[in-house]
Amino acid sequence: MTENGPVIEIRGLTKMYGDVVGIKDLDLDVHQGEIMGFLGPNGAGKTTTIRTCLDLLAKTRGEVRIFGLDSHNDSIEIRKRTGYLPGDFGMYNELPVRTILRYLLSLSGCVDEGPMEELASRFDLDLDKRYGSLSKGNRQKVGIVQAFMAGQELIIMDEPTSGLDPLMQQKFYEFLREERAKGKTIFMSSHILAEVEEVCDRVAIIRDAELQVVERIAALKEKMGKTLEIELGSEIDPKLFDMPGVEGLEVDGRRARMIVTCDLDQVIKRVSEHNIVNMSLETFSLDQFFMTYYSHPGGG
Amino acid sequence: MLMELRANWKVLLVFLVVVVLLVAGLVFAWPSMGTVFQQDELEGEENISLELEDMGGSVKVHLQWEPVEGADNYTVLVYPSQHMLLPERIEGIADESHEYDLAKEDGEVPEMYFAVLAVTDSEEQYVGMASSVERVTVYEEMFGVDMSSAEGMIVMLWDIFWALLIVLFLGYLAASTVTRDFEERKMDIVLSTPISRRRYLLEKFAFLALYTALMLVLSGAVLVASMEAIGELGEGMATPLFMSAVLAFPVALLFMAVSALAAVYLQNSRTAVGVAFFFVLLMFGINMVASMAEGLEHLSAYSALGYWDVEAIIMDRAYSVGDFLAMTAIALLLLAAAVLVFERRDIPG
Repeated sequence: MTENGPVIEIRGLTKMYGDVVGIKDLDLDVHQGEIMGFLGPNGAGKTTTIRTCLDLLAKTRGEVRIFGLDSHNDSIEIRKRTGYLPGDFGMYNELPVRTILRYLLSLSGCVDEGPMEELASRFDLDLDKRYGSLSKGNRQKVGIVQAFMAGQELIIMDEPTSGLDPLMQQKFYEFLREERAKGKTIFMSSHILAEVEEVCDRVAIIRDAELQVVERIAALKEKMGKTLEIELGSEIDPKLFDMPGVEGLEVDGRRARMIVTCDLDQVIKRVSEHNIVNMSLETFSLDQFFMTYYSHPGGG
Repeated sequence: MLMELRANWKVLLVFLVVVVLLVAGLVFAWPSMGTVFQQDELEGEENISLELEDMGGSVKVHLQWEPVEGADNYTVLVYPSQHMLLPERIEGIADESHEYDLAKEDGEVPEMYFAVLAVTDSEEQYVGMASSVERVTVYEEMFGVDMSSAEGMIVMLWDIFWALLIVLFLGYLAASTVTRDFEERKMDIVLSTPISRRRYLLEKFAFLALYTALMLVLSGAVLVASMEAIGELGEGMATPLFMSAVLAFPVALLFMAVSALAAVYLQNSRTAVGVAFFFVLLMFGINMVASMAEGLEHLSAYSALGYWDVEAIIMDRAYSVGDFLAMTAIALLLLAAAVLVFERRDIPG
């Protein structure tokens, strides 16, 4: 691994399924110690990106380096240090969970079963049950345990909370934050905005096989701005709000509605010359932002 | 490797037991079934002696028969086959003997039947029948093996039953053990551990090879023991009988390698098992035609089964090291091809 370089470094990654584009010219860095969310609607290319990084799919073009190593040529070395939770997975239905996990541990060359037991009790998973007898949620827990139990530095997860109940989801987020505090790097896909907002440091948004934006959650919220609704004592001249940082202006008589991404102070100073009857300010949620992305191609 | 055993031990054990029971069971059934394959005697063949004298392009058939009291003379009927109508009739033979010139066909003595009738007061009375060639059963004619002997029976059981049973199951096993990991979505989990695809495939194959070896050794041992138990184990027969099972190993490997190749390429149980079965049946078909159809014996060179020659092993005690090595080499090449295909293909998500 290059010192202080990104843990995952994706450059111009393209995956074609015959003539169908899976992902196109993707560039993305994931840094050590961060939780990177990978957001997008179903079929956008999240799983394709993850599985190409792990060399389960052969890339068509581009480069993926993990720990500074080539994703294809050095995939064994990479996998020694990477835990993976697939979006859709199965295991030996006829065997007890403990047997399966021990087997996977042994494949990873790890002998310490402590973390496995610890994780299982933390997530209320009975290791003595046969895998085939478990519910969807409990199977997902088995997936989570196996991704983390060998103590890997990087964990890649595809929709990790699918099937978990809300309580278990919260437990899981808490666990992720602890892992991050230990210096682990986490790259997880999701289509749940609240999840990304709650647990991720940065988010990459993908739509139609192409990456739209990569941003810190905090910066993204800032960038998304606020919705300002204002009512003045007289008819509003739209020119009043003609200034950088004000977007989506809608004027209706004495009322106006806009998205403010610049310093609010400038807007307030300008309207203060007028008689302000009413005013409301609302923080734009990631949800709304996300919807804007999906409803206006290339927008944001 | 142990996971394969833990996850599939029931199927593996059941099949092992089935094979062993079928081997032992059919051997024990032979004493009562064997007579089916014995040649019927020609009626009254004890009354006639037939000797052949080679004359170059033909043979002189010397017939002699027991005199019939009160017979005026004798008639000899010559048939080209045992049941053919319109025989050649040679009447008015005074002696109890006759000589008949029989032209060779392609340098071989043709199969002819001679029936002798005694004529008394214009009444014909059947004396007996003899054949110009040593007669073989329909089964022997088809398979080229005398199945009225215990060894012959074993050869036939291998050729048409045990071998098919074993390679079909092993082919199924080798294909499905891989395709099930695709279909049950186990591949993503296993291949996210530091296990290369090559190691994954070779370990599975090594496990199946061990299982196959166990099955064949066990079958061979059971075969020898069962033959001993029914008192048909001739002197020096233990080794060839045991080898008839054990020498199937490289051929079994080859069938499993074909299955593995189909499995990693098609990634789907139904089609991969279908291809594996088709290949097995194709090889059987070719081998069957080669052993049954006159003049097509050379076809067995195109069937993997032709390189596991049970008849030569049991009847001639011929253990071909060359065949063994050639089949092993081809199996390993196919396995290498399977690894290459597997390493290059996307794992379906």
